[in-house]
Amino acid sequence: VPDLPVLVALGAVCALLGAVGGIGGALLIVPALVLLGADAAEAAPIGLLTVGAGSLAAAPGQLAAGLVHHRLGLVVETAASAGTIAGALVSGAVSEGVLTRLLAAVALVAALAALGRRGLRNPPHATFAAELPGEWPGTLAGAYRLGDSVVPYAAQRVGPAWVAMLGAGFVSGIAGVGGGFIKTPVMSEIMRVPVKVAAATSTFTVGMTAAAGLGVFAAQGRLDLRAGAAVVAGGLAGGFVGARLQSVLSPLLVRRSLAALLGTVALVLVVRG
Amino acid sequence: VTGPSAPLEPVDPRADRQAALVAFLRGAGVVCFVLAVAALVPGEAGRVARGGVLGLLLAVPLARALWLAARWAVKGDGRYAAVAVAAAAIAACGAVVG
Repeated sequence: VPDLPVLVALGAVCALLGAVGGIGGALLIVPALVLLGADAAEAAPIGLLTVGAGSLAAAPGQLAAGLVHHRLGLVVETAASAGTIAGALVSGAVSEGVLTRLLAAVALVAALAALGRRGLRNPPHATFAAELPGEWPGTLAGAYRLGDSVVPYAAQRVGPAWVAMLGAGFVSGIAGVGGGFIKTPVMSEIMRVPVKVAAATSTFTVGMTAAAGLGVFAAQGRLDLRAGAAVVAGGLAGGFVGARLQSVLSPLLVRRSLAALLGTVALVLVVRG
Repeated sequence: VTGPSAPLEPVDPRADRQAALVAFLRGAGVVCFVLAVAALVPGEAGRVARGGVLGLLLAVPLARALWLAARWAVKGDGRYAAVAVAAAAIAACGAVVG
């Protein structure tokens, strides 16, 4: 694992880029740690620490905006947490080469997901103009504010999405990434939840995913807390700046740049692996 | 003319329903950052702070789920209260099975 100042700087840069691109910092930091000489098995728990910190940092703003659907998040998280625990347990028994190649595959899929993100699907509806943004009690439906309009939505196909979340959690546990790059498209494309709500709800759920995986790594003594805290300190600062930069930069340009970066990381990992 | 000059606007009981949770999460984020910086200090203080970072990142998501479960149970939404308790229990299992 690199020195503490390098880890702080790495955490800050990766969280900044992750927040600007809306993909989370761990997707960048875990491959970056491996490229800097850390074992993939060492980097994964550090990645989950940054996932937990990133989820915590983003939560107040997303919650205040009425974008998080807690009921939906908790339903799918029953699967994702179970998958994460399984993935974290399996990661201890998998060889370094396999973990590195898996990380490359994760980076590549994340790059494609960043490129393929869809635009607006759920249109505003005049009937709901006076509706408060947020989830509707007792249901997996709700409404969110889009400019001056209100967009209603209702989650569909919960069963298939639940199974997909099991896989997303497994990837989180084994690779140390948040899994938001899988969870958000699952909620958006399978459950037909608006992307903004899906992304905010994913951010909430990855905090629980991280807690589930960190529990396994802590119990197994695989957590380098000194290195992890350095990355978290840098990551929280970088995420704070990145969230403010996000509204200034062109989302399309940022997503394409990040996709190129993740694709390059995947290529380097494959060559190294 | 007596009474209020303007008609009363209906107040949605769901307004600001998450205010307490938002304040809790904002405070937890600040504490996490302070602990993470303190964790870089060598010695006993740094060791304690490192444990604090881990404890916070483990406890806050579970506390959030349990807070929601309690709130939903009080409001009569028992089905999703049970889901929230189940999600917290599964996440907490990581430390047990590890």
